[in-house]
Amino acid sequence: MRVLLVEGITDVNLVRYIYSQIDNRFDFYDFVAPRRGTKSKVITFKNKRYNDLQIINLKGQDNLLFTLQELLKPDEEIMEKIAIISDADRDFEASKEMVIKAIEDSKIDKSKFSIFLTPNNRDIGNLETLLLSSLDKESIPQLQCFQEYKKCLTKEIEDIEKRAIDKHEVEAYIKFSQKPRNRNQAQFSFIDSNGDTGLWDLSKKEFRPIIKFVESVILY
Amino acid sequence: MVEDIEIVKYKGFENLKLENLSQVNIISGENNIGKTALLEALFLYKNILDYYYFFGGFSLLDSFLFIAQTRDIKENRIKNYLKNINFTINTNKFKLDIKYKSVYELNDNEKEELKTFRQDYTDFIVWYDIESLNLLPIDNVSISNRTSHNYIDSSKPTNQRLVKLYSNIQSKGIQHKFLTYLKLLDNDIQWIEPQLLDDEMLLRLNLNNPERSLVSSELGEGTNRYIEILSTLLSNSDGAVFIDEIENGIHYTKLYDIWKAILEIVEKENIQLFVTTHNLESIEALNEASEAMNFDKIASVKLQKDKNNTIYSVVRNYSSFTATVDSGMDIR
Repeated sequence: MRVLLVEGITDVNLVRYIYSQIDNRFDFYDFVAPRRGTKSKVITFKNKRYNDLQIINLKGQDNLLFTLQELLKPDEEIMEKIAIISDADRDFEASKEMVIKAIEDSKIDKSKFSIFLTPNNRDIGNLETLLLSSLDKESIPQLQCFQEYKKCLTKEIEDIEKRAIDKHEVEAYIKFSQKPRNRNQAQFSFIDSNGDTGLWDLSKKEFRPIIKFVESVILY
Repeated sequence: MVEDIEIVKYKGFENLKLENLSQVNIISGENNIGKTALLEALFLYKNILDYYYFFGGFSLLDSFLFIAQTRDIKENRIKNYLKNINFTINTNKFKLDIKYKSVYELNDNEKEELKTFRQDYTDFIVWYDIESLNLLPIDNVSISNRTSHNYIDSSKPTNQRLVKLYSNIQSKGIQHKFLTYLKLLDNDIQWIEPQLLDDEMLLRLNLNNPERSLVSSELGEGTNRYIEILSTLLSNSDGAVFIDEIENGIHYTKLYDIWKAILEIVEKENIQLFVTTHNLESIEALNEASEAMNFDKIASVKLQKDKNNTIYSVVRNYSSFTATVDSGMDIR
């Protein structure tokens, strides 16, 4: 069994998108959540065709230890790889330490784990940092407008979180892209009923580190 | 209550350890991994313990013959089936060492024991518990339609079995209680009673909408199965019950209500329950019923094979069981 633990639904869908783009064995919609999963702390996306690959939405880093102890530890024997994608946030080393501490506390064999901190496993930031860094802002009108708006926001509102602005910027990009209907959340911006939205270009160099990491989970 | 058990060399198990079992234990795993074999081993252990210490239940030989019957072993093959017996069951309270031996293989102690027999037997099940040696001759054994008071196999129950089980309910005088639980499956069931029809004992049920009177075998497999489960549970207070493939014949929409009834009965009657399943809906229904009933004495046991093809168990306590099922992760 190979398991990818990620922080939120946008990460889940990015990972589904990456698999569907890099390996023709995988389809975005092959990863399915349970019908009655909404009330649960964490949600497992099983792959319909490949039973031994699952993505778990932790719904926040706080559920990492719970998931390792309650879900994965009993099945440690069949866990071949456990990959964790988490945000580096404002302190890369501290974020990494938190993940390592949870791994140690879970008492699962450390050699089964690999960790990736967004945006690129090197810098501070998060998933939105990664998504935004892949965009050519100069050529996207709504993002040019957004830069003025961002200046205004940071000037007028004190202590505004960079992450909040980044999320807002990602939303602005999606909302005012070519097909804006019902699409203003990053989590649903990869594939829609018409197929690939084309909003995210995985061939951009910024995606290379996360693609390599996600790919390594399915390699023997 | 069986909490920890070690089963050595029983059928496909080399050395299977189960720890932290609970009041309700749901056993899962892929086809042919040994779910039923595990149920049998637990059944053998519990029945032998009860037989020798509480003077109830099946003897060891009766238990083996009953298991052989559930596995559809025919009369002419029964002795060969028994000759394959060679296993050990350990718990912190009791150790059973059970082995087939021909008369030529008996050791000195066993030969001494043989002198107490009046007949000349040639084949034996030899077993040791903590205190004593026991020799069971198997020369003239016969299966002859055995039923168990606490083991439900995966097949549809016969009329005779249902009547026998229901008579336990009558003896306890809890027919109305039985009916209340039965109506959870089908509220149209108005009454149930045994009937002698053409020299055969049957269970007859009266139904509403439209008003009908039918014998149980005319009803669906699910109803027969549920009658079997209910009557077995209600007549095994303070004991253990074993159910193979609990969901057989039962419509998935009824699983939640049935699990609620089962949890209520095992709680009130102080029963330890072991069930096998390969059905995700049954596991989800148990999880939901346990939350609704605030019942947390549940363990899930998954059997799987390691890289060397050795079968081992993954036992999850209630908190791990419910977290795993809620998350949608497969625990079958």
